[in-house]
Amino acid sequence: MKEKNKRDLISRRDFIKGTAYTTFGLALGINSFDFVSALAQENPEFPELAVVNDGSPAELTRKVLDLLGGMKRFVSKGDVVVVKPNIGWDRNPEQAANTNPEVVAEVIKLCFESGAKKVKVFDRPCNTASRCYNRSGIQKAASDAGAEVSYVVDSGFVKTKLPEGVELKFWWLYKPALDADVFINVPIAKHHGLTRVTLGMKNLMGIMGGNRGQVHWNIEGKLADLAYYVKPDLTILDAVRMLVRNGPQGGNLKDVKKMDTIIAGENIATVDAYGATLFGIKPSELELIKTGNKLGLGEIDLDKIRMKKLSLS
Amino acid sequence: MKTLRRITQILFFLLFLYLFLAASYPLTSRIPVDLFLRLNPLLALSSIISSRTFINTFIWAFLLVLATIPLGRFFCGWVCPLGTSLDLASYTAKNKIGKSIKKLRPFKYYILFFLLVGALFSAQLIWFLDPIAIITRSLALSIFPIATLFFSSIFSGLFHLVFLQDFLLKIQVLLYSTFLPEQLTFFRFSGWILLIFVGIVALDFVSRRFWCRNLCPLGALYALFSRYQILKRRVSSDCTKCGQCQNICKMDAIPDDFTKTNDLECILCWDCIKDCPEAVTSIDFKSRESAEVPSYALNLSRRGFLASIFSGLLSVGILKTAFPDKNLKGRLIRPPGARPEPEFLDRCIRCHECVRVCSTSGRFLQPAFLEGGLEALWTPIGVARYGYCEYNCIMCTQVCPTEAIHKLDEETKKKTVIGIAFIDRDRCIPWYKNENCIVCEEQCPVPDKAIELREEKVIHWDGSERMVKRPYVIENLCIGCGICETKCPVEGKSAIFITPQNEQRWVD
Repeated sequence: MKEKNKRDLISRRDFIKGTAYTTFGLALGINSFDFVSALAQENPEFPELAVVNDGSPAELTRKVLDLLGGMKRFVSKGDVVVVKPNIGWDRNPEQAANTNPEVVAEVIKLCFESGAKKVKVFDRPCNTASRCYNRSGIQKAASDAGAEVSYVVDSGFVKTKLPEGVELKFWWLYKPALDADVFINVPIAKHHGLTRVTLGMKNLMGIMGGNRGQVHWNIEGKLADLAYYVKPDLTILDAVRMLVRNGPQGGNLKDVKKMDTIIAGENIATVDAYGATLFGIKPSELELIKTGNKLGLGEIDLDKIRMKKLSLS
Repeated sequence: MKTLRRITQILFFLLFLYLFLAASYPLTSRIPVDLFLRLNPLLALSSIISSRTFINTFIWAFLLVLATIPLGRFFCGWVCPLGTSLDLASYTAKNKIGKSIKKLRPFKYYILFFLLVGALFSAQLIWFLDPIAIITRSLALSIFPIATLFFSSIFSGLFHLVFLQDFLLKIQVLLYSTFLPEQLTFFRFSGWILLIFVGIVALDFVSRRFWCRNLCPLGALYALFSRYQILKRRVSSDCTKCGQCQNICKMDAIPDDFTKTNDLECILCWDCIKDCPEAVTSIDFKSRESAEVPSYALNLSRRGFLASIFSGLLSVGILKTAFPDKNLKGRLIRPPGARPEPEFLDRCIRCHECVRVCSTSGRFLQPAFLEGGLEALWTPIGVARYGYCEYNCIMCTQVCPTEAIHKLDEETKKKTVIGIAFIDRDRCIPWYKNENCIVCEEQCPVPDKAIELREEKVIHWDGSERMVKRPYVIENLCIGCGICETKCPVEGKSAIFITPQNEQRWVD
């Protein structure tokens, strides 16, 4: 994300640098920022996946990032960070249709502690934005934590080419999300009628404009392409409360399972793969996760992953 | 006093605008947002007569009538937002005072009789001509959407300037929670509704307050009650008969004998006092010899009276015998809490407070065309392809001044069925194309899902067998909120649609 962003700036030096990176990358036969993440993947110092359970949402969030090597690994001084929770529905936190507000607030605090200049929070909801932002508790929690909470602006959606897209060649994507130095994806784990579960990759739909309904036709390929293009720097999966039936908006408290778990990792498919197991689903059963893996968005065979687990109880 | 009158007018106008803006999510205003409608004795009278029930929300309207008895038509001069708009327009355009056409003057009384005859026969005609209903409607459905279009395009335009983005996003939540709607809203008939309003304003070019002098039924009602007013214009015997007062009276309430006043027309604007060169005019409570009730005040002809009653009867007849198109009735989705149709029509004054407040949430409500017959023209109906009824939202039920839509609490509303969804299998992707879609199921807000997906084995067009998730509507769970119809990704006509079948109306 960072490297790509630098290329977007107009200054000549950056332009040349960007060209150099790309040429270098091409010469190696791999895309330049894949190269960087490949390095990180092979860095044995840090786990690829961190899982913490049994604690308050804020504690869990803080600990999961500690295990991952600290927020400083992702956010540097002066960065503009986008934290993208799920604020899709006019539901309250207990109903587990939106990301837990305390988790969102803690992520924002961690960003600021790592020197972030600015943290932006937004989502394109399915219900009326003001209703979702209010009832989810995220508007208050995030702005109290110091983030700039905003509704998406129509003119912010820019028709974007996804050069390596297979199913999704172009779409209207939210410019402020693409422009960020760091993009942190904070989904909630929920049941979903079509993709069975909605986790990290599905959460990225929140930066899509246009007729999102049509994305549901052959959704797996399209979402994987989107995840490949956006490539969040960090995915923090909120499974404090998990919606196990009647997703993605639920409403029944009996459909909510208290898990007190947070999963975080740098590779979105890996996080999603672990998330699927919480629902008792093998990652290899899910088309979306498999497609993500094929595109190089992370290992999904959990036995092959360097994972750190911690219980706070 | 003239300055005080102007300030008061502006303040009431601002209050009116504030209440209009406050009629939006999250609807936290302490003052009822429909205050001006509630204080309207004409709406009160008409809806009470036509519904044959006392409507509690209107209780304060009768206070205004009581105040009118000693004070006269102060409402028209000091409070009425439509009157203020006309004054503002005329002030800006420097309109001439203009002479009245004498024959037109009693027209407002005829209109009043016409409307009340309608009410007597249970036909609410009042909505078309009540000034407060007109201005609320015009503001909600035409003027505000136009204003926000320009605000939003400026906002969106500026958003392209990268260095301004952060600033814009900072003020955005504030803007959007005050006067900018999150999404632009588009209303049916907005052009017609604006045309009526513009017409009324344009008549001010013929003569100042043309509407108030000749047409306004609310003014007529107040005039009837101000026959014994104490607060009056009086002229002392030192009057030099210069005629200045007659020249500047925007209501043309001063006859050729300048010492007299047509009290039924006087709106106590204080212009004649302020501009009397000899300072011999005053408006006060004192009784002087020139204060007899003028004989020319209420100049109604028997013929005009009969004509108004006859045309009232005729209109009732036409409205009630218009061809009821059953096909169209399939789209007559009423807001939750709406009373049974005849009772609803007796009460609805088409102020469109409900439509306004809905446009800040699910954008469901729109003025009807002929869905409920001619009699229900412009009443609120849900147009689900455009917007949907927000599951947790009860705002439309909170703002109805006539309680045509009964107040509901959130729990009751969530269980109130306003219709039911049907799937058009010829257009639905999983049904005709054998491919997955499920957007309707995803969007269905009923906790137990009123749309069920069943995995079925189908033969694809290429001959291969595959499993497809097909949607089914669960009839006893569907509440007809219409979000499935709104969000159905099929272009054009939705593959799932709601009809008012199974609807529950509010019965006391």
